[in-house]
Amino acid sequence: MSTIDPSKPIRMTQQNTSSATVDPVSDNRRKGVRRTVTITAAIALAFFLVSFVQIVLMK
Amino acid sequence: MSHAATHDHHDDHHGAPKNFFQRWCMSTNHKDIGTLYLVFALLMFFIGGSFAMLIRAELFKPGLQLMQPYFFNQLTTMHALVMIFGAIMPAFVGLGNWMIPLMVGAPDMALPRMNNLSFWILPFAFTLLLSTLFSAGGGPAGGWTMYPPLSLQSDSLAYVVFSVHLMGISSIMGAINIIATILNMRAPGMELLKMPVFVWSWLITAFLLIAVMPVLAGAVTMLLTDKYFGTNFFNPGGGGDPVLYQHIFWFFGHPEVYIMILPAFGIISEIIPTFSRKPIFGYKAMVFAIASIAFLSFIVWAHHMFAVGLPLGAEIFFMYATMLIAVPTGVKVFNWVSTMWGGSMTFETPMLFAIAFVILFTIGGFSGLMLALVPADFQYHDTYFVVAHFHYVLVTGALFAIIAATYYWLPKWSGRMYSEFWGKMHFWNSVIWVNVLFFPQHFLGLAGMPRRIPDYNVAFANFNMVSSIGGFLFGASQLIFLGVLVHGVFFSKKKATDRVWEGAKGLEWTVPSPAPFHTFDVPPVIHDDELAHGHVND
Ligand code: HEM
Ligand SMILES: [Cu+2]
Repeated sequence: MSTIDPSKPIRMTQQNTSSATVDPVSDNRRKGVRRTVTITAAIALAFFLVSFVQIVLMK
Repeated sequence: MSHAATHDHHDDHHGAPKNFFQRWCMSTNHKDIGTLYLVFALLMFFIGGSFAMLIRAELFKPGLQLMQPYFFNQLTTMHALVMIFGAIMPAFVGLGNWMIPLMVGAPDMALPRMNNLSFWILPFAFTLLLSTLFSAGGGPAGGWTMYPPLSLQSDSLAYVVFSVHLMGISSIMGAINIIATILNMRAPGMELLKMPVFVWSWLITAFLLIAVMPVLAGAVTMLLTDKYFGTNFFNPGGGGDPVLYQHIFWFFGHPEVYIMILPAFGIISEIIPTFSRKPIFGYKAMVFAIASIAFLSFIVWAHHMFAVGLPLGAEIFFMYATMLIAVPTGVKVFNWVSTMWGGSMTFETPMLFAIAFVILFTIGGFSGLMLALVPADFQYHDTYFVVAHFHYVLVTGALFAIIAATYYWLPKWSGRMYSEFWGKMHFWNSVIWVNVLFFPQHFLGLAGMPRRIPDYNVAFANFNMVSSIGGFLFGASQLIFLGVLVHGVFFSKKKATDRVWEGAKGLEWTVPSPAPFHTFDVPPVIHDDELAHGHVND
């Protein structure tokens, strides 16, 4: 079972410094990447800070 | 390319830049950055390996032969730091960079410029770390675990902490990039539960990385402020506690050892089905086993601290939690064996390394179970038994998987077949000598030889000599690997087909060999038959 129609190629272009992407697939992906980065970076920061808090908690 | 003159901007069609600096230093291409990671890891593997050769030379006979004890301690510390952070981890990141976009049908990583930064931090971090060996006070000598107060005595602490920060930033950025790629860049039709197991293993590993690398960064930051800024996090004289460092370190450290083995599980789960010509047995169970191992890895850290005097309840909790990991690990080993069962197997070099992985990693798992028993660990802790344990899981585990992956995907990378004869020579020499090297260390540990010492009781002389001989020959065998690689990348006359291996399935085998500079600019049309796991939900 194929989920996309081979007669209509979907563009999945990378944004780069000289051109932004405009098609909807790339646009969705760009928003998704931004959300993923925000969440994962927040997790990383939280764990960094918790490593210090742990000190206080365990005494 | 001929039409390059008419395009003065970057577009989807250009090949690799001709200019060396442009191509390698400014790269945003996942394949080139993957290659950089792999070459860097290989270099670090030989540097870390030369430290190991010096260690085994000193331990060849009892008594001090070649070096002062303080230098020996620098060697054991540096060997571990270089191998863990410089060789094993970057090798997995390199494999992930190369293969994940190809396996999920993405044109590149989600964040290509951050990818460049993640890599190029590493040469600076390791130049800094290795340069401490040439400084007046010498390099770090307190062990890779950097326990205070011992580690605070070293003059190079600030350099080491800074280089660990750099490695941590690099790993975190790399992990974020991998998660963003897998979650957002898959070609239409590549559902999560149709992804190759290798991609799954990296997705889960990346979450481990973003959770624990910051904790390591926190721990070493506190070492730095304790030494230079008057804090007393780990100083009992000021109300601190050195055991807290161990808790924080191992909260990072145990997930870290799984960071070094989960991508290996992924690799083995790709190779065994290919050479057994059968789909993997229990695809979903394999994915869930990886996820549950990752979860459990957060609640077992204190098994590294049984001997510090934990409350009895904690000893028992961490003992049982640790033993629980044997369950999902057993599922994986069972499924690899079941995949081979009844398959039409062939034994090319990648498969040989994969089979050796299954057997020898399991030996390391069993010695791990022995160490997980609190009363037994009181005896084994800080002996060569621990050294034997983690070298079985890391050398015949993680490293063998990296070598297997290299043989497996090299034809796709270079477009040429490596020499099967010399690959097998490399395999048989490695598998024999690695056991001569590490198996006797179990006996040394059980007999009471402590780890991290340059001299030892004459009672341990024979097994140490055997181990050193195995070490030299295992080290020499890796020169065969180097030769096979150079030949297979630059000189081999035998061209690789696109599929390379008869039984290979998945998107990465649908692109030409060598893989062109840009792949999947237009997402592939996915036929479930072409995927290794296209029919799991049918
Ligand atoms: C089957 C599951 C495993 C169990 C039950 C287990 C158990 C243990 C225990 C209890 C220790 C502490 C020994 C001591 O210091 O007294 C230990 C040490 C160690 N293990 Fe494992 N282990 C397992 C798998 C692994 C894996 C997969 C890796 C890495 C790929 C690994 C790497 C290490 C390392 C590096 C150390 C030594 C750390 C140090 O003190 O420098 N283990 N293991
Ligand atoms: Cu552990």
